[in-house]
Amino acid sequence: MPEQLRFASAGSSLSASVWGTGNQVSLFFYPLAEERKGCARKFAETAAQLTRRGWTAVVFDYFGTGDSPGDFPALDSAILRDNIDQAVAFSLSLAKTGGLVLLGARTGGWLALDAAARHGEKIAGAVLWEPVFDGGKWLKDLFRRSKFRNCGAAFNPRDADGYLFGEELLAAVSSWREPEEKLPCPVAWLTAGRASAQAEKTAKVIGASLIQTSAQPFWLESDPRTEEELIELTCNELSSFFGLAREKSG
Amino acid sequence: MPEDSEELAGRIREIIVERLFLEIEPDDIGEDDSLTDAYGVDSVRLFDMIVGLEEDFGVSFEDEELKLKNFDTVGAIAARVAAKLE
Repeated sequence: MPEQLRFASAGSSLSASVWGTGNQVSLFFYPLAEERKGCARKFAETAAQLTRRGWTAVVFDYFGTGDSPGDFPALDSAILRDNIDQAVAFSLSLAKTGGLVLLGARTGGWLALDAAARHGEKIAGAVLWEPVFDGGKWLKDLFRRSKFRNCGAAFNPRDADGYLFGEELLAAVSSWREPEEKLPCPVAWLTAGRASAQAEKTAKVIGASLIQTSAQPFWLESDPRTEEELIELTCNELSSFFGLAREKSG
Repeated sequence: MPEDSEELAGRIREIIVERLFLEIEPDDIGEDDSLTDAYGVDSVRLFDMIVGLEEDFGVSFEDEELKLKNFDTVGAIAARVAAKLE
């Protein structure tokens, strides 16, 4: 079972589940909003498998989500960025060898790559699960899905199944676009089912290896099935990034 | 772009199977089979299928069109998509 720890960020404290006590550390980035729920079990299963391989996995909650205090509507891009920077610093403080590797799911994939871009050589690699790059389309579909789910009942246009987005965060996420240059670290992009034409195009631009899995869109489900292949591939890719980091430092 | 209604319905069946991860052949889905009743598809997954339709056919459904009855059968979906492609 993970140890529950806290670290400071943006005048508050964030909750982190720390799995294992290994020298090498991976940091997990949850998706925003309701998709978080569908990833929780997958993250726990992946963290448990990494622990069995002798590593440490850090799974943290952004301000106002999960077990971290705060009101989600007050979350803005500056707080989110500080949350991520502090999570990187906290994870590096646990790492005794090599760099840090990242795992990001959906919008967490965008956030993980943003962290990789800002923290440069400290990041040895990243695995992304069906990352979201077009923030505007993601938000549009998120709210449409919420409306469809609720059969068009009285609807707050900022409310996605209980996640009330602040105006600033909405604008910030809306500005996310497909990346246009190669990423600073090796990236493995794992798809659920067949990769879209857009995914193939973007993966080529950023230099990510695109790996198709038989996983279903677990981020849409509240009680998703086990996705053994996805988790096994993720752990293998993270392992290879640690290996690359060791070669580089050795 | 599908040339006739049979071809359109065939492509819609393929998208349904692909986006909903159904373990059946596309042709097994009857024109009036309810996706929610016959295959236990919930509204969240059904919406994901709608997004798949939009991407595949290059169309966009208005919020007012996003009702379960418009997307619960191949026949209803085909009518909705055909109207967009006209």
